[in-house]
Amino acid sequence: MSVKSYLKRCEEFSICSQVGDCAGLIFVEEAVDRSTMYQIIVKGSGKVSTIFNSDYIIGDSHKNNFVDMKKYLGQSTIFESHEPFLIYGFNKLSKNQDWDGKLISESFEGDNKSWLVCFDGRPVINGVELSRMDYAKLENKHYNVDIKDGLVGIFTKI
Amino acid sequence: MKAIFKIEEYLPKTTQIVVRFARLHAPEPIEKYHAVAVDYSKLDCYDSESFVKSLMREVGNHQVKKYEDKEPIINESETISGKLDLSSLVGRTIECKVENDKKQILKVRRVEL
Repeated sequence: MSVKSYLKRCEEFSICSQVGDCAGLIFVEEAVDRSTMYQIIVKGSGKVSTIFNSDYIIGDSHKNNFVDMKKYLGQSTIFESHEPFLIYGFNKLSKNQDWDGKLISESFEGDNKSWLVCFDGRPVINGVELSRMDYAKLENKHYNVDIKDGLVGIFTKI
Repeated sequence: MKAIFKIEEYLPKTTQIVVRFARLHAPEPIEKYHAVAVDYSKLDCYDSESFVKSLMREVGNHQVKKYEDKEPIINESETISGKLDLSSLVGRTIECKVENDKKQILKVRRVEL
């Protein structure tokens, strides 16, 4: 099987996804397409590096599931899976955009420069049960979070 | 897009072939397209498949693209950008690119919290 790729442009960013069902799958991304700020590993694991570089990052759904990819921006990269995987990428839309991202598990104060993305599970936020790939623009207000089995990221435009 | 080629001459003394290229669905017979001389010593002649691929890579792809760009445009078209209004597109002919992109659309849903 080959790697299946998905992409969706949202209002101020885009989300991509790569899915594969075995170890040893290779996914190469050319520099011109490399705009991923953060990678979120929902299932499985694999390693990623710039091409011809042994200094790689291991992404793992259990140990390292939220990876800052900014150092690879604008460079050609190669990914090799260690097992079946599902990975999402949070991407900027233009070169001069910058984002600060993190996973959340508790209630927080929102701001109107941030977006929330649910990558997995069924977390409940402000009484709304989210599903995988639900996203929302945040406001300057408090958000009550019952994370349950959810994997939720917040991304702030800086 | 599929293409075709036709070797008109084989010139072993100069290691050349004279070839015409066209799209498989070209509007004219291949004989209507220009013939070009190709030095086959620079091609991969290991077997037929290798030869065809290297011929197209070295010369054919460019020739076919060049002809396609020169062919008359029968359908007048326009480009669109910005906010999508599907209803306003009815009846209009829109120009777009044929891309070999394997990426599919990721299904997402915007919610209000």
